[in-house]
Amino acid sequence: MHDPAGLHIRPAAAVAQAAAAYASDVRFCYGGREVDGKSVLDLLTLGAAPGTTVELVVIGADAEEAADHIARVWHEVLGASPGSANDEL
Amino acid sequence: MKLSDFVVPDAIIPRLKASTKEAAVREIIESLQAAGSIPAKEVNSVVQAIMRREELGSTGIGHGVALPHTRHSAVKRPVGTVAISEEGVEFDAIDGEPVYIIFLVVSPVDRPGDHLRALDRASRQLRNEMFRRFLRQAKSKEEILELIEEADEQEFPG
Repeated sequence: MHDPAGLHIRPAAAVAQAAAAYASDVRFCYGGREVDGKSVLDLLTLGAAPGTTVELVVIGADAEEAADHIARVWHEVLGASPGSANDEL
Repeated sequence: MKLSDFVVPDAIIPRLKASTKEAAVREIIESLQAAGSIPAKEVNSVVQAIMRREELGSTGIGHGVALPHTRHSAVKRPVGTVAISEEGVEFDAIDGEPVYIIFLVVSPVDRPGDHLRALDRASRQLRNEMFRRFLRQAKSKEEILELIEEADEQEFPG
């Protein structure tokens, strides 16, 4: 989790869209909370602080492929340029 | 930050007329202008700024909800409002469904933190299915305002 001010709409939408492409159940866990990885609203309210670790849990027939892809999208949208996300949420 | 810290009560639209994204954004910005929150000469510029943000990716984020937003020099503090559409607005939402609840936020350019907090607050409350259902059922500005104040007091769990 590198985003300076939490998860913004665009990265959250990218992650949720990646998750929605799979049949598996996708959950993100952080700070004792668990949210639906296919819901942008859920992801926006995950409340993960910068620099912390968020757990990804994928359960289903296509879980392995889904987990790989979703984790990659997460890193692409959140790890790319920390500090720049405030410009366009 | 509470919803009532930035929601302009007079600008609430219980029955949005527009059925397309740009018309909906314009109707809401004009309502904020009529309520005295955005200068008339800035209306077009704010609409354009919001539409430019939409081009980067729709803020129609599923569950019938959209959070169009921008930072703009037309405002001195974060202002926003809620519009409810009975028929639904075509918003290019990520789930492909029409949008029924539009929560629009405009913040000053120099206060990105406040802008983020306003959006965060709105998304937190809108995550609650009951809050969304009650908003869609509300028939007047007063009812919507009451729901917003209730949400502020209760902080729907999530």
